[in-house]
Amino acid sequence: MTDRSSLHSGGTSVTGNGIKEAKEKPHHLQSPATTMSTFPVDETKEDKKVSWETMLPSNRTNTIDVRTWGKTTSRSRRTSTLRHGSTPTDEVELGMMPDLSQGLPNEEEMWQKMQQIRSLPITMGEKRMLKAELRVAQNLRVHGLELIRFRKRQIWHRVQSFALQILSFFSPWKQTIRSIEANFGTGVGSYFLLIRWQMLLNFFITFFVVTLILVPWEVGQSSCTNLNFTVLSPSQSALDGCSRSNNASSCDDECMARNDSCWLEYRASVMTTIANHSSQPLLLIQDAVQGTGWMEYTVAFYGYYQPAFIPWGNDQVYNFALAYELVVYFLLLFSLTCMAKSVATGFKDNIGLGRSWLHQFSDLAFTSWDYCIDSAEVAHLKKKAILHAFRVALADKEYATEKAERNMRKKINLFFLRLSVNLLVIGTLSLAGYIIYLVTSFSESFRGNTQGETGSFSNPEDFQTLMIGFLPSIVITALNFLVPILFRAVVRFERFSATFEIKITLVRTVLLRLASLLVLVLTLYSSLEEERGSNCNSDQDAPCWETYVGQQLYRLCLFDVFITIFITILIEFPLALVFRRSVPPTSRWTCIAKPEFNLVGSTLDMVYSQSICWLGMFYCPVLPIITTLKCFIVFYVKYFSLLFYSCPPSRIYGASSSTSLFMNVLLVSFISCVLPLGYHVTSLQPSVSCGPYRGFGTVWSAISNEVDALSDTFKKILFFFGSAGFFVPAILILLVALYYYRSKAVAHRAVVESLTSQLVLEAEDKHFLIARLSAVGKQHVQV
Amino acid sequence: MRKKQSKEFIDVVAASRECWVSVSGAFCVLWLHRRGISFTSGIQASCSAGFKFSFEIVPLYTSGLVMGNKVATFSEQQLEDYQDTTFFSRKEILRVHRRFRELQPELVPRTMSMEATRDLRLPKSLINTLPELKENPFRDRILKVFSSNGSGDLSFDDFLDLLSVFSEHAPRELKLHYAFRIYDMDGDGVIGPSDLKAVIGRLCQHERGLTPAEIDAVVEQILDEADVDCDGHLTAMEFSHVVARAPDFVQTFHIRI
Repeated sequence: MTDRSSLHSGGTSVTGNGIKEAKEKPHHLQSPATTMSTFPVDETKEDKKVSWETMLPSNRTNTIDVRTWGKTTSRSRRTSTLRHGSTPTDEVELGMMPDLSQGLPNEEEMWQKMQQIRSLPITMGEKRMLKAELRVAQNLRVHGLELIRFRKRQIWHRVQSFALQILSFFSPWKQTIRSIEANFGTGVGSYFLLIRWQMLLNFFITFFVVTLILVPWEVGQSSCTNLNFTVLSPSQSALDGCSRSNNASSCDDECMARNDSCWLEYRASVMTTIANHSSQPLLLIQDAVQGTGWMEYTVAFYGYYQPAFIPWGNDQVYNFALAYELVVYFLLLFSLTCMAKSVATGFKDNIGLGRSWLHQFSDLAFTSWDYCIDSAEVAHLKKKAILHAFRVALADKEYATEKAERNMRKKINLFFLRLSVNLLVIGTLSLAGYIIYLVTSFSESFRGNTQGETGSFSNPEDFQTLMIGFLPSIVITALNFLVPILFRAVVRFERFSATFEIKITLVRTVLLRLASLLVLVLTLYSSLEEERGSNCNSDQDAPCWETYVGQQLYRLCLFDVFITIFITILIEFPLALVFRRSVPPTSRWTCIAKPEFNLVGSTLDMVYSQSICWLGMFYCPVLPIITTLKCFIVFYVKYFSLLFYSCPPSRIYGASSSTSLFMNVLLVSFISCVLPLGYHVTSLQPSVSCGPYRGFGTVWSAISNEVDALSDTFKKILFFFGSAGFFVPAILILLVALYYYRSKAVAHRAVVESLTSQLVLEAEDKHFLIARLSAVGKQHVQV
Repeated sequence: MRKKQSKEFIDVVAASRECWVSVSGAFCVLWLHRRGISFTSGIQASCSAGFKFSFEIVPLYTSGLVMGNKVATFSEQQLEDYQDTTFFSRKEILRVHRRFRELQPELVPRTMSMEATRDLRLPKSLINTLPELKENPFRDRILKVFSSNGSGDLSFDDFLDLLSVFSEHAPRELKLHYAFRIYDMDGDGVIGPSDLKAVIGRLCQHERGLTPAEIDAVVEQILDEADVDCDGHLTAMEFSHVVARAPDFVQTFHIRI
């Protein structure tokens, strides 16, 4: 039985009825698919033919069924084999195909078979023989259209394998991630894969920001002569060298002149600050981390840009305001697409395919071992984790029975307990929001008070301003660190099942993080609301509120990087070094000497920094660059922490659950970042004294002005897309499609159920027949 | 010819890039290492992995370059065959050979003939020392399943087969087929309660492992979930039905080389 060839046959005899039957069965099953034997195999090569048949019955319909060697396989040999055969469309396609199986197989089929050899579960020798057979086998040449299609597919195939190689060029850290997976399991490995994904995404965003915003502006600015403000009068247009954006609809000449004067005022105030600070290195550094002073008047912030047409080649102009807006929209859309793609894949794996919670125990038994692991220490930990997971699963089952048996009184008790915990959580969240609001308003008002007297600081006050400028960031980071500890503590009282406990804590933490960001931005919006007006003289406190928002997010981002590095290298690492020798491994203080790698927390940190990036991209175009660098730094910092002191998580985190968690949370945070931005773009009036949109009614009007300038028919078409006449039918069609797919899903589910019951019935039949057979046999013996 | 060159060019670029990344990553590790700070074994393993890699890739790659004419491990025909029958590229096939040869350099020749790849077997005790398999609780089963004569000793062909099935690009169905045979401990074509107990026992080897009663409960739960036709064991179809839906199966049933 352990002999290899008989094992193969054993594989085919899934009903377990012995090898003999199995040997015959494949021949029988083969009959509808005789095409495969059309390459010359004489009967003496019987043993080789077996190789084609040594498949599981399930596989027979999936991988090597010769019928499915048809159209579906060749698209990509790497991926299609994973997907094809299971979709019903293949069957349809096969039905429509001309039946080529009558005569000799043609070149195309042979080629496909050749591609498929590698995924047959047979030994190398058999594969090699099969290949030799296929090579000498006669085949028909393909002609005409078929030939073109065949060549196209071959070329496509080559292009794809080439593209895969190119793509692997863009995936750095392969070896590092491999060693992480080997040492800490795929769950932790997937976290690092996600950092890499995020870094590449941000790299892409950075690329577009640099080429379409930063560089055009810097280049354009140098070509615009009159942007030098040493000689300027407000009455003159500030941008003589480059013509300024035309927004006549919202602003007449007088208003434009006023805007220019506002801008000059803003610029003058920034220039004074720069001049005052230039002699003091401390202040220069402070400006760099706060985004004020010299930093404020660089490409880093919104306020530096102007509404301008930058000359571009011959007679071409680059409408900067429009480009700025469109680039941001495009990049947000691009991020959304990338995420949606990942979420959809994860969804397919988890829910569409998975329903893994139904197979909790089987999954643990058959898929929990990580074949990547190659270190003894981690293998031991992994075994412990699997053991723990089995215990948790058993406990969950017990919990379910306990829950079913709960009486009314216990239920009511628990209900009130949970209600109070939830109230506590909501209270904490609101309190956190209120604290952020208070601190932000305070820091903002302080900034207003000191605005007039810049440059007159002595040293201790410098530190004070720095602290107050950073206060919102410090408070937010501290809350993000402390409040989850509270959440983890109170969730124990709620008596949820172990798995649900983790999920609900996670949801609460995510809520906290997003809420703190939103409160910050909304506070900034509202506290700056009253100062915004057409008259620039009144807004002394924040002459350019967009830049101010950008500065806050810039600080938050920097502070986040700083905290990550600080906690890892300056707190946890020395503690671990000091306590490594003195703390016995079983003591409860091991969490200091060898803290567990906090996979969920670290994942949330990455999501959080990405949401800051999305939120701040409009106000501070260099944020993607910082985030890219941050991903790079965090990768090494976390790698460092894993190498030197952390131990892998004691809970089993599958790579898929970690990825889908990351993507889902990222999607939620994306939406909550886009909402305030959308509000700003469509409803708020941009600052009159700075930025590419000064003088515009709203940011959106840059686009609507452009549309107005288009020809009438085109405008009509565009307006049609914006009208109810388009939206109502579109929504109706979407609803109908949704309904269609839903009912299809329901139907499929019903089919699955009926098939399952059929299987059970057949098994019962089998038992019944076997019982009858043995009864008859006994009778026979007695007779 | 031109295609080949461009491919080699990409390989060179990829190699140098990986070098750069891993060198920069290993830098701080090495620095601390030289300062005399000692670490646990797991750390040292990963240190040396990063370190070894950056020094190995260059000689490996040069051997790949001269492979065409001077130090040919395989004939062109053999390489082509391997490429068509496994999920590996040329470079990876050569790397697999290097790993195979490292196990016993005096026995495995540098130049592999057709016969040598098929008939020269390394004993399973030796293959068990591979770091990729050393900690695997199912290693004896893996070797048994992939050994073409059923003894557990692997020839180079078998070894390549093994790694191909466990490679990243192998399709789910192929992996499922072999997973079933690995977990079918007694080789009777179905996974019965005894097989399940053995699997769970191997997974939870620990001083305070599951009690027999707990194991029985787990086996019962598994059969409850997966045994659709209630005949007391899992057939290959039931097995693939359950495991194919497990989202992590493909990622975890994976050995990197």
